Amino acid sequence: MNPSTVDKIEKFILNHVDSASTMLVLMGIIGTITSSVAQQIGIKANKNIPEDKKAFLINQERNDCMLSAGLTWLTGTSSKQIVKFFTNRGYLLNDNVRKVSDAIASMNGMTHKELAKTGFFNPAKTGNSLNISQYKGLMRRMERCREGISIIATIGAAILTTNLLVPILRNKLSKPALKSDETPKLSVKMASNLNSNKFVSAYPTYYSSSMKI
Amino acid sequence: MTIANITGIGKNVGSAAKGICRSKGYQKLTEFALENISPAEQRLLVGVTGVIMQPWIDLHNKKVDKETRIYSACKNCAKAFVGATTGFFIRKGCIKLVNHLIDKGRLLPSDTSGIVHYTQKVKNYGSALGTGLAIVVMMATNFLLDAPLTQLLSSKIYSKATGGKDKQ
Repeated sequence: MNPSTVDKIEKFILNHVDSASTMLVLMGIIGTITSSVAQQIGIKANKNIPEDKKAFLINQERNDCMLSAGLTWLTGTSSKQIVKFFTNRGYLLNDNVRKVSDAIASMNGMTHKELAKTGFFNPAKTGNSLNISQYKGLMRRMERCREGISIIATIGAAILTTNLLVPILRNKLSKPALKSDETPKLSVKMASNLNSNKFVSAYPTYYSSSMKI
Repeated sequence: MTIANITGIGKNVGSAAKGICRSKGYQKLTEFALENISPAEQRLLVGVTGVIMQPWIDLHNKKVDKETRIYSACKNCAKAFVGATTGFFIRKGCIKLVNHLIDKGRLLPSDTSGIVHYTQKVKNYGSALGTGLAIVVMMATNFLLDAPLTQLLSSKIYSKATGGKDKQ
């Protein structure tokens, strides 16, 4: 491969791998779409499944794919944002972060909440860079903690959407298969219509031509 | 219920949540997730829970007749199982391969200057490149492995579920 192409791929990946959880979401979506197409072909090719069941299963598979892709993206990305929202405000932080943040807060005569309000002495927020080393050290721990929580949240969201929400919704959206006792009923009704003189007099041409066929 | 009661409940929930967050277990869990859970493990976790949850939901689908319900439950159970197994091993294999190549000094990003927390970045880079490779591999295996295996397994489950009387 051309070295510049390799560099471009590397650059793209490095710019997009800040978060392992984003990768989990993207993986989930691409895997869902290709898997669904393969499954639909598999169902169509399976000679042992009756046609009416096939129609339902393929319909179910399509709905499953659309819902899974949409909901995985929505919950995956929003769960990350929710985790960021809470951790930036000082919530959900593990002991590893709290030990340092509490020490910084007590050194500056502040509570944890007050420290969180300053963005943990974020120079961009406070306007002074006196505590820059403390801020960087804390952010390193914070980033690890946030990443860990994001992975757990993404998995939780994936389990809930893929295995609970999607199956319920896809079953609601999928066209039901004809029940085995519906076909004979329809045939009897059609046969009685065909036999009635009313139908023949109303649609004589249609009736005769269809009989010819 | 008075406002005092509600705020009381809020305080209790708040202090319980604070207690959980400060616990050693919570810290271990977040560290464990960061160090050990790659897209491969995620696929396995979602698949294993899917094997139990999806057929249960399909069997309670009142919109279709009993026979279709069984067909659908067998198919989705087989799909979840096959998808989790192949997905896990392919992802795991690809990530291992890429990380091995990175350790050997190949596939390493050429420009690593200015990257903060380099170790974690490279770990994520390896994971991203490995999962990217897994996507390409799975585009083929979804058709060559997953779909035929799902059909085969769902037929087996169906004949077991119907006592071997009905063949799918």
